[in-house]
Amino acid sequence: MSEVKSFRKPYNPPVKKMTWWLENPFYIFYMVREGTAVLALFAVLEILFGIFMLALCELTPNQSLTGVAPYVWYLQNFLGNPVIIALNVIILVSQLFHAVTWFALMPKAVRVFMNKNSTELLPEWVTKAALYLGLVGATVVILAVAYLTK
Amino acid sequence: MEATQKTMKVTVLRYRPEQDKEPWEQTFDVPYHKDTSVLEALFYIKDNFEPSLSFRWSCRMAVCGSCGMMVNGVPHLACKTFLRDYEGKDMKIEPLANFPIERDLVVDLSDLIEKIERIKPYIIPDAKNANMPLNKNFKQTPMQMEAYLQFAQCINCGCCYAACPQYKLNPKFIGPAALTLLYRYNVDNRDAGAKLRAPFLNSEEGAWSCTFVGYCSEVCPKHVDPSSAIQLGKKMSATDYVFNMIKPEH
Repeated sequence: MSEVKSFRKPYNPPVKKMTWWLENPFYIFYMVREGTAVLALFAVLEILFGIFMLALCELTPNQSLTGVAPYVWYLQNFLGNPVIIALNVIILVSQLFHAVTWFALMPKAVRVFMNKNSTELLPEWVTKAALYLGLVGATVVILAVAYLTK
Repeated sequence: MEATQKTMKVTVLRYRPEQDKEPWEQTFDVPYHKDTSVLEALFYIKDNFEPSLSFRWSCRMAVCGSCGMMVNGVPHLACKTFLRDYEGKDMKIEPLANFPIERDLVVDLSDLIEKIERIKPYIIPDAKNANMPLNKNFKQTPMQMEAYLQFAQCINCGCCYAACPQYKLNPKFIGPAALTLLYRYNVDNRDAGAKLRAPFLNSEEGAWSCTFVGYCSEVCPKHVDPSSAIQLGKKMSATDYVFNMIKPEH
């Protein structure tokens, strides 16, 4: 058996654990898409805070305005604050961006044939259309409830 | 009529393990015309400037999957990428990302190969068909074939692993190509091996390590769409989980 000296010395390029996503526009787009979750968290905390303030109110049959003072403060001083309004506009835009980018990906998770004897797949636009219909439907219901219980 | 020859500045990442501590860049002026591929540019460099330049290739027609490499930071097959599409720009050729560099543009793909082997990428028939005589056909309808055909186009070039940030950050991740092949065999109606592959699909390093970045599908030279197969694999894994809760096997 011949002895051949091996010069093998595989080089492992260093991995940038924190900044890897800055290397490629596609990764940046992905991080923005996923990053919108942080803003969604703020929206959730905002609603929880509102429920908490509502729980502090004293609810009586003959409701006086002083009894619901914490919730009135929440509505007028907290939600009415220009900074919070601006933040909520940003959150709305970010969540719409998340919805659009997420809906664009969803057809990849759906692989259904048109019928039992077809080799044709359900077109991507059907999945997307169903998701947009769901979004519009939910928005209409929420706005309708808000309007009717005003 | 002779058109004037255009040239492009092509930078190649070099690494010679016997003498280099780390990779370095070398730039060449490569003449090209409208059908010069990156692979041909490398041949030109090897023939005219640097006989020692190492790179893998075989079929030159996007079938063998040997020549995956990074072109301007994006995973491509060198044979299927053309200099004309980079006109007016410089070109930088690097070895496939996320794999150890062996020499110049040659990377060590053994991790990819091991993962593909691990998920049992072959048809495992059920007991009834296990000993089917070779002269008997296994009939398959066009729809049954369509269910897996797209995912069977994989040529194991490794471009999807070079594109995957999850694989970059956690090399234990089974990764796009292997998980795609896992799905491809699971949905083949001749196959009954889904239970044997389930431990790999369901594991932490399996489908659930994928965060749906989707770049693998973007760069796949065969349009296999690995990110689709992995999301479908997640559905398979979730269904498996629920069924196991209702009716445990052990």
